[in-house]
Amino acid sequence: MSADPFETELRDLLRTESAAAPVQMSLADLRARAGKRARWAWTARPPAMRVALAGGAFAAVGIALALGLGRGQRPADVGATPSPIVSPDSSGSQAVPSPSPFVLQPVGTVVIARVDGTVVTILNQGPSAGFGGAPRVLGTVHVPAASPELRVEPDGVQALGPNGDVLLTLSSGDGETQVRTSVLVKLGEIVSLDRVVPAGHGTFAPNGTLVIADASTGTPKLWVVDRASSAGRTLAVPADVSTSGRRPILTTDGTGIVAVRPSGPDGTGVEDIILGLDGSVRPMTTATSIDLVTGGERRFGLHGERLGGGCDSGGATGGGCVSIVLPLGAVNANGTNITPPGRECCSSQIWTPDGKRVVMLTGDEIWAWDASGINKVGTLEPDVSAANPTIVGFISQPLFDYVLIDSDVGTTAVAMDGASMRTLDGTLLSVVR
Amino acid sequence: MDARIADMVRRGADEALDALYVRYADEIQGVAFLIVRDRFDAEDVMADTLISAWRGGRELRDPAALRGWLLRIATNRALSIRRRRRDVRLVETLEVPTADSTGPLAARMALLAAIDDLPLEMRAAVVLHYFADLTVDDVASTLGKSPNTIKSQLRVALGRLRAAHAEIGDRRFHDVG
Repeated sequence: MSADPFETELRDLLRTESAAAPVQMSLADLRARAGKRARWAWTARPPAMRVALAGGAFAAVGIALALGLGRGQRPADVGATPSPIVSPDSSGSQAVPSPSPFVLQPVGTVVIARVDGTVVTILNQGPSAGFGGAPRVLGTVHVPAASPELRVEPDGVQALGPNGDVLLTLSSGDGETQVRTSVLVKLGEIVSLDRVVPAGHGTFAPNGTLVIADASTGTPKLWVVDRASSAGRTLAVPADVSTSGRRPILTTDGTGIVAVRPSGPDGTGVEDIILGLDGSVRPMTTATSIDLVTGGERRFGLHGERLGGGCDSGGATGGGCVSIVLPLGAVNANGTNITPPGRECCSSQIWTPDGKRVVMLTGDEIWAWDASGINKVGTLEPDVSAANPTIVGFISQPLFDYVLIDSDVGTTAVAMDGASMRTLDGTLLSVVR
Repeated sequence: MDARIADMVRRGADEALDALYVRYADEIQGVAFLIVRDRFDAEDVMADTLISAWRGGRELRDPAALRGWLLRIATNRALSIRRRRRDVRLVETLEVPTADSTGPLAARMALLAAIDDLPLEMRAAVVLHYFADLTVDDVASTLGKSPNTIKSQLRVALGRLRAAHAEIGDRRFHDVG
C-alpha cells in the first residue's frame, strides 16, 4: 500500500464516504428478497426471456444514443455538485411561485394531451357544446425526428407543470423489450436527455416541484425533483407503505402524498396515510386537504365517510359484490349499501370534489349516490365501455356536472344529465380549478 | 473464515446467504455506493450480488477467489446500473459550509466531486484499488482489463484528483511526491 499522503487521504475519504450509505437491509429482508425471486429471477427465466430482457437493456442504451447521449458522454450536471433542493417545505420555494407560461381558460375547463407519434400537443378545452368545441393549443412537444425508434404512447404524457414543464414517458421497443424513459420537457421544445427523471408515476406540486412515486424497483422510492434544475433527492418508502397508483396525490400544502398501509389487528385492512416528502408518515384525517388535479382524488366524504365494499363467494344466492359508504368510525357491518339496484359490483367509484356524492361505474352504466338516493346518470357508448373505462375525474358546472372517464380510447366527458357524452381527442391531465 | 464461507457457497447451503451477508454486505455496499452514488441502488446491488452468489455458488471453482468474485459481480452490476441511469441527478453529498470554502473540508468535497466526475470505469478502478484494496492485477481481473490499462487509468485518475484537490487551495498533498 502506498505511503503517499494524498493516496492515504483518498483511501480515508472513500471509507468515510461509503459510511454515508450503511447497510440498512436486515438479514431477514435479504432472505425474504431471495425467497421472492423477483428481481433476482434473471437466471431462472427461460432463455428466450433472458434474450428479450437483454434486448430491453440495449433498447435503454438506444434511447440514450438516439437522443444524443453518447456512451462516453454524460449530462453536464450528473455527478456534479448539486443545486439546493427546492422542496415544498422550503420557504423559498413557497415564496417564489413559478410564473405560468400559459393562460388557462376558466375554472371547469380541462387540460388534455393529444399524442400523434412523436408530437405531443397540450390542449385546453372548455365545456361548450358538451366539450365539442375547438380546444385551444397551449403548446407542443416534439421527439427528435432523428430518433425514429422513439415514440410517445397515448398514455405517455403524465402531467403538465405550472411552469410549462411536461412530464413525458418515451418508449422504445415492443413487448418485453419495451423500455420506457421519463423526461421533463418545456412546452414548445424538443425532447432531450438534459432533463431525464426517474421513471414512475409523477405529478407536479403547485410550486412546480415534481414528485415521482417509483414502485417498480425492489426498493420503492419517492423522488422529489427540483423544478428548476431537475436535481432530485430520493426517499425510501417504508416497507409497509404503498404508493402505487395512477398518479401521486399531493396534500394541498405540498408536504406529502397520499399512500396506504395495512391496518387492523390482522393487517388485512388498509388505511390512508400521508407520506411526507421529508420521509415522515402521518395519519390522513378528514382535516387533511389534498390537491385536486382531475377531481377524483378525494378519499373521504364531506363528513368523513369512507367508501368500502366487498364480495361474498356464493351460497344459495350466487354471491355478489357491494359498494358501501361507511360513516366516520364505522365498520363494514354498519355501512350503507350504495350498489346500484340489480347491478354488478362497481368497477370504479370516486367521491365528487364536494364530498357529497359518489359516482360509480358498473358495466356500461354510470350511477350516482348521495344522501337522497341512487340514480343512474349515464350510459357509456360501446366503444368506451369495451375499452377498460375508469372514472378519473369530475367537473362541476353551473348547467351540468361531468364525469370524466379514462379508457383505451382516451378521456370521455359524460354529462350528469345523462343526455350527452363526448370522447375528447386526448388524455386528461387536469381540470382547471 | 472466508474458506468456510466459500465452502458453504459452493455446496449451495442455505446458511451461506447469512454468512455472505455478515461477512461481505458492508464492503459490497460500500463499493456499489461509491460507483452508483445512490444508497438505494447500492443496497439493491448488495442484495443482488449476495443472492446471485448464493444461487450460483457452484460456479466458484477457487474458494480463495470468493471475495474477488463477489466484488466482480457487484462492480459489474453497479456499472450496469450507473450506465443505464446516467440520467439520474445525484445529490447525496454533503454541503460545503461557505466559511470553510478553502479549507480541508472543502478540499475533501472537491476531491469527492472529482471522483464522481471520473469516467465510470476509471472511477470503478479507483474504488476497487483504494477502497477495496485490490491489487492492480485484481482490479484488472475484476474489470476485465489488462493490468497495464488499469495502471494507466489509475495514473490518470490520480492526476485529475490531485489537480482538483489542489484547486481549492489546500496544497498539503499536492506538493508531496
